Amino acid sequence: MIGEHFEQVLAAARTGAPWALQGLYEDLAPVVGGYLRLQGLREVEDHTSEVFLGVFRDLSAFAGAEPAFRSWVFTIAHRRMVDERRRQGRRPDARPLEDADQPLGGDVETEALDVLGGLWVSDALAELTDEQRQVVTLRIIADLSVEEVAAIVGKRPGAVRVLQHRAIERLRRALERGRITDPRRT
Amino acid sequence: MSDEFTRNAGGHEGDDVGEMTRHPRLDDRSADALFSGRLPADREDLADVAALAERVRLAASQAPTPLPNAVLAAVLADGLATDESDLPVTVRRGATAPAVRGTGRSNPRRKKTMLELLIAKLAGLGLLAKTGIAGAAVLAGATGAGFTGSLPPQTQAGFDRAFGEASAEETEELVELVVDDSDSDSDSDTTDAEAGERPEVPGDEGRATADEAAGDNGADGRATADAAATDGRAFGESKATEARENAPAGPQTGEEASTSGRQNGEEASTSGRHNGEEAATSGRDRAPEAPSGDGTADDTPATDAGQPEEVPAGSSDTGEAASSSAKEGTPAAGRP
Repeated sequence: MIGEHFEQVLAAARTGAPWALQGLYEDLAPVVGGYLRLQGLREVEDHTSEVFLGVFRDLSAFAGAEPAFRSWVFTIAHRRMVDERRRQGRRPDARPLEDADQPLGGDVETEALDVLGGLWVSDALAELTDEQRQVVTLRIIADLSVEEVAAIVGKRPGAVRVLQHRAIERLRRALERGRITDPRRT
Repeated sequence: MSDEFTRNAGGHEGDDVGEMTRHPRLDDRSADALFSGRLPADREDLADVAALAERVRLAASQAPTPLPNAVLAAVLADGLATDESDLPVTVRRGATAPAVRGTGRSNPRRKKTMLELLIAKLAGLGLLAKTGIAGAAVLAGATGAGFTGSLPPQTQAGFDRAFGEASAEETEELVELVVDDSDSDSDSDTTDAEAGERPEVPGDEGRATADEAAGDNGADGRATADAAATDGRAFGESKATEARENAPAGPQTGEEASTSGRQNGEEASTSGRHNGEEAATSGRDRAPEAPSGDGTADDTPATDAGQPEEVPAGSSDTGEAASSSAKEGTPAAGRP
């Protein structure tokens, strides 16, 4: 979150100021990339870049505070994801949040836990249907409300509540049965 | 008939286990807490789910910033052309972005690429990145719009001020000159020989005037330099005024730009007067050996004598730099 300076950053970004565009990108690109990655998109960096190019192009059309901006960015990201998956024409495979080619830093054990944690998250989310996963990741990663998620995925808030409830139940059962194991607890 | 009943039957009792919910639905507050990684009250059965949500949230927040593709990297480095300016916004010298919280781990690969791109852009732009006038000249050369008033007001004013006397052909030469200068990045290190080859620009007009001044025993040199100094001060102040007008959202930054522009103008004025006096002295010293009207722009003494008349161009440089700074100070006006 950018916080109290958001309005100033947004105003500067509307004029095309590089530092402001960089600020918006640095703030939201990681979570947008994480969302796209958990939806099974490949070439996440390219898709994230395209999302932000769209965001920057249409900045003049946006009005609102930071939560609304966050929701707007994820709307663009979600639409791109839907388009891309339609293009791929297959069920996505959720991928770890951490890229294998990214240097993780720290000791070997920490690195292994990070990778396992990413796989754990992916395994858990793979238990969900596409719609459930979209709702859950938008709620968790994007930190959006039910109403905001509903607007993004094109459903009514009640339908989103049902989806998130079923997702929670699925995850709970999978975790109870040991089908998904938290590597940090073993 | 029995087949139909079998087909439509609800199945065995209890076969919906695993499909239907066995726990009451979470209310919005509990769901919000769960997705934030906190355990809702009286729902210890969701401890693992809360841990998972926390892990997802943590992983997302710590994920490295994705490496931008080439197009986005250029936008992030150079800025984005907007409807208001129709000009690329260049990186402001010495500008620093505000601290942005929650960006997670930095990506060394991306930062390295961004830095290299930024340096390459700045080095490549040279004079273009330093003076808005040059940028306007390039744009005008590319679109033919410079003299038609189609540039943004502040840019048009600077353009008119700097190149108002030039013809269309001269403008094209200027554009080529600016591009060449930006390529060689020698805007501040122009040698005498290079200066002699430059086409007529306000500074070169001044150089020719200074030649005449030298030919006339330097009697008019000081007056010309004073005029140049006044011109420089006026230009700096006009740029300061423009800067103040163009920074409505950030009066403080606008005032700073105004002050900077005024200072630049005054510095240019002082510099111009100082150089003018030197030129006058030089012209006076060379008067016996400089026949009237023989001085050309290619002559070394003429180039030396031309220094004071470069003041308007120099002041344009500093004044325009202030203007450019002020223009970019418009977004920066909001900079915390």
